[in-house]
Amino acid sequence: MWVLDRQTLSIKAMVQTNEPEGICAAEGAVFVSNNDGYVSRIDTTTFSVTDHVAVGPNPAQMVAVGKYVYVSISDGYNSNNQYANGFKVAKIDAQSCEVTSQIAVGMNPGPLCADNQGNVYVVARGNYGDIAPAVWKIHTNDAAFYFCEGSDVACNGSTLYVLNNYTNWYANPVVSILTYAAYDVADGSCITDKLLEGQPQPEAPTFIRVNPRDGNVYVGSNASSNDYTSPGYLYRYDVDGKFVAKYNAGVAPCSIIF
Amino acid sequence: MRERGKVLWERTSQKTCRVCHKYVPRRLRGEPGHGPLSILFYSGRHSAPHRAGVVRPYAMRLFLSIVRCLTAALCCWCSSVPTAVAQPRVPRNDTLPQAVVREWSARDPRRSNTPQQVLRMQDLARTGATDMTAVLRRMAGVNLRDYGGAGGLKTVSVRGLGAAHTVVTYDGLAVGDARQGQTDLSRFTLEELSRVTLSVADAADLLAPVRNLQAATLSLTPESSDTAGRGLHGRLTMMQASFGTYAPSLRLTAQPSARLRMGLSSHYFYARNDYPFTWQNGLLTTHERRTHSRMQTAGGKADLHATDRGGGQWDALVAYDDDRRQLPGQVILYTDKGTEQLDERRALAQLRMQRYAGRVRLMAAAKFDYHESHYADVDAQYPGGRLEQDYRQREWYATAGAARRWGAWEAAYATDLSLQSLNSNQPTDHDVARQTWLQALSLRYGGEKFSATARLTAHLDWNENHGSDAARNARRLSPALTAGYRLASWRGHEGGRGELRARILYKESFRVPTFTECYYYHLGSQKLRPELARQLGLGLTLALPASEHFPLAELTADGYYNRIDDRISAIPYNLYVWRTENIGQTNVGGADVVLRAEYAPARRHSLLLSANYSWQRGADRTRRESQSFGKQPAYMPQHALTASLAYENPWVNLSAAVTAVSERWSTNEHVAGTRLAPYHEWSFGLYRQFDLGECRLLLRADLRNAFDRQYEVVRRYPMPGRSYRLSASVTF
Repeated sequence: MWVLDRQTLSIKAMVQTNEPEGICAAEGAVFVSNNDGYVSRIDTTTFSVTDHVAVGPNPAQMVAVGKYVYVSISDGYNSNNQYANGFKVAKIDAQSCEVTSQIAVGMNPGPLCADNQGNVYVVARGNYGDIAPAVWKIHTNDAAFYFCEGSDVACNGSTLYVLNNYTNWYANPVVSILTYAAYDVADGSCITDKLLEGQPQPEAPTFIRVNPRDGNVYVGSNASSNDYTSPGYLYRYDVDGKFVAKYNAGVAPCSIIF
Repeated sequence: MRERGKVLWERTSQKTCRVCHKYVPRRLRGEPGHGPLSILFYSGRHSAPHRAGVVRPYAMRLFLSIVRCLTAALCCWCSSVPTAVAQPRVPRNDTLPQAVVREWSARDPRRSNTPQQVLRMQDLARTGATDMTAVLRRMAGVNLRDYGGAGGLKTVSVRGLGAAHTVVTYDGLAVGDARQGQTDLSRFTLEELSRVTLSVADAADLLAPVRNLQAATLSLTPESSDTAGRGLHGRLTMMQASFGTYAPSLRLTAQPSARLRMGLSSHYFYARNDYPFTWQNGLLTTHERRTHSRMQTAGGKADLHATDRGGGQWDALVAYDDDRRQLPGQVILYTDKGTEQLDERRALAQLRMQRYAGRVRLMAAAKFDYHESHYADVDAQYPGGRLEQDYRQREWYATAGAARRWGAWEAAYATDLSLQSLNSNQPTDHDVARQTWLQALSLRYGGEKFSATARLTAHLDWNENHGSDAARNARRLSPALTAGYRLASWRGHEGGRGELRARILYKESFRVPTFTECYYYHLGSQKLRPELARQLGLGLTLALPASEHFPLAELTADGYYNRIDDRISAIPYNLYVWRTENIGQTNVGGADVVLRAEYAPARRHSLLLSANYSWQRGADRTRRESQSFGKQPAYMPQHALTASLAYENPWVNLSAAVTAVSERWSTNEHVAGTRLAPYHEWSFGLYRQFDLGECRLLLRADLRNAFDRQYEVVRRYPMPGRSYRLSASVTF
């Protein structure tokens, strides 16, 4: 990982871990998930790894909630056995850097986000075939339940935005679904399952994110459904899903930070 | 071949007779066992036969005695085969003794109706080509994918058609890889070959296995078992090169009887491949070294060539290769961790027959090919800490055909049957097979000035998948038409003949999806259709009359237009899943120009020039709204030039060669940051052959990429910089 000055973007330090994937900050430290099954804790004053903990095979993404760090355990390289050793989210105490619980969720968990009540939402991506992706909700007491269909999630605190871009290649004919929905995190009710309807929409959405400052929703997109090597786009919508702007992006845009 | 009290001379390759030291004109010279024919006859330069006096070192005599003892049992069997070769009589002044045919005549590539390029091993030495990569670069129209280093994967695409449309043959039969659909040419070494031929659109011989009639054919002809008239013949070669490279090889040939020749070969190759390279990381330039690139290969081959009583020729071949290599992979910034390894084993057995039955020429062959591949990636990210992918391919193949001539007309029919199977340790589609039946009906008119060939090929295949859906079956008829006309012919001042010939071709061909494209987990699709290729070409060949100072001057120029429909591509569904689909139409237009010339300013001095230039303009014509529409396909250069100049003289021979390639793109869309810069690479060589009685010693030193040019052929696979290569070869 590279540490950059946020003003000048000049390189301040490099921290090496073994195949880093996800990153988040908690309790004054930075946590990195590594594909070899470990999470590393990085001291932000010395820019060095001070601790690491084994969490499970192929940890993917992370989110920090209070003094805990949640990391999705995908077992993503075990597709031959249907990701059997995943199906869970590891909860880490950020102070002690120890796993406090392993929370059972759906197949192949990946992206995570948290709401303003301390609940965590994780996308179980399925097998990219006949098992569709789904969103699971992890309550503050570590109880986890199926929440809704979806392939990516973003939360502005009180509203959960869900992108569901799913294709079952094993079906004959091939089945494709593309929807955008919004949920109220207070009671879990669906605000709308036709978010962005009537608005210019991306052809091949890859992610959904929310700007915490203004609540605008951003959706990244490939150039088209089969075009993975051409420059993509970024679509911007307001809190109500009304189209604001379209920006050019690089090849296969996969995320955004604010 | 010796008879008590009399000696028969073979056609000598030397410029002076070893006995009387008289000069032998070029027209009487030739490489024994090579060229159109090798004929035993008395040297016409001498009124009486000479006895060759040979002094061999004691160690050599002992070695030869041991080898003769080991072949005694075979000689007893072979002596039971009656010989139909009449013992040579004492020659009269007006008669020649009976000739023994060593091998079939190869058609003159200049007279071919399709573009044909032939490189013989002795020519390669002059062009500075010391490995398969260099050989392929010296052929016009060839787009080589080279992943760098001695062990890097090397595949070839001809005229923009793609590697899967090019068939590679070894000793006349196609080398198959039903899993990947392309042949890794790095597994072949030049020491085992006598000739490399590239044919486009059609085979030179009307009677050929149907599978050889692809869009393009790269033919690798192994070294013959000709013993050059001696009971035992052989060659020991040792090569050492930069980056920890060592390659010894041994070739032995024996002729137990007039009808039987046999050969044994073995080779070993080891290389560390830890070459340095320069890498550009934004504004930063770093000096790196390739790691985790070690490889070693060992193998052996036995071949047998027999002539039966009816004049039929039988060729048998058994070969085995064991290949182990570390895979360095792409260059990844800030880490040189290497975790991948590939081990492969191959076994091959094949038998070919050619004979005449009256006026009918017959051909038949059978082959069994076994290929085992074991890929391992040792990394904690995998369950159990390692990923292993094991594949075992088997192929049973047979071909047979007949041809008959009526004056200038010739007709031929050939049929191929093959069964390919693939087993693997993958969770799905791990036991698949394909049966293929090919037939070809061919007609040729070969007049003095005009010649034409028409072929109709029928393709049928059936797929099987034990436990799941099989891939789509295929059937198709594919026509091909080639024609040539001699526009002019004249004699030069010194009696040589010059010619100007024109040719035209049209061919349709297709290739079925590979097993990987059909079945690979999360990638393959059983619904794929074959790719269809259509070729149209025009060409001219100009050969100037040979003279004493200009024994060779040839220029060929070809233009072509190719179109590929239903192109098979891997399309990403998301970051994790890709699928193969028939998506795409690609058009490629181009021109190839080849020049070969020799100038002999004085006796025993000659300058040899060989050059080829290719222009290729390809365009994706799939969807007009696509970013790649109309753009040059990935890795296809628009301009490519290779040239070599050799100076041969009595002291030390010199060679210089250059390869220049224009810019390329690693993506079809020409996205910023994916441009590959143009490059040019120079190589120089020194070589000299010493005659040591009946032995010959060839020493050679090469400096490759002399100006240390840093470049990539495939993105993120840097090529080696400056390096040396030394070789010593003893022929006895």
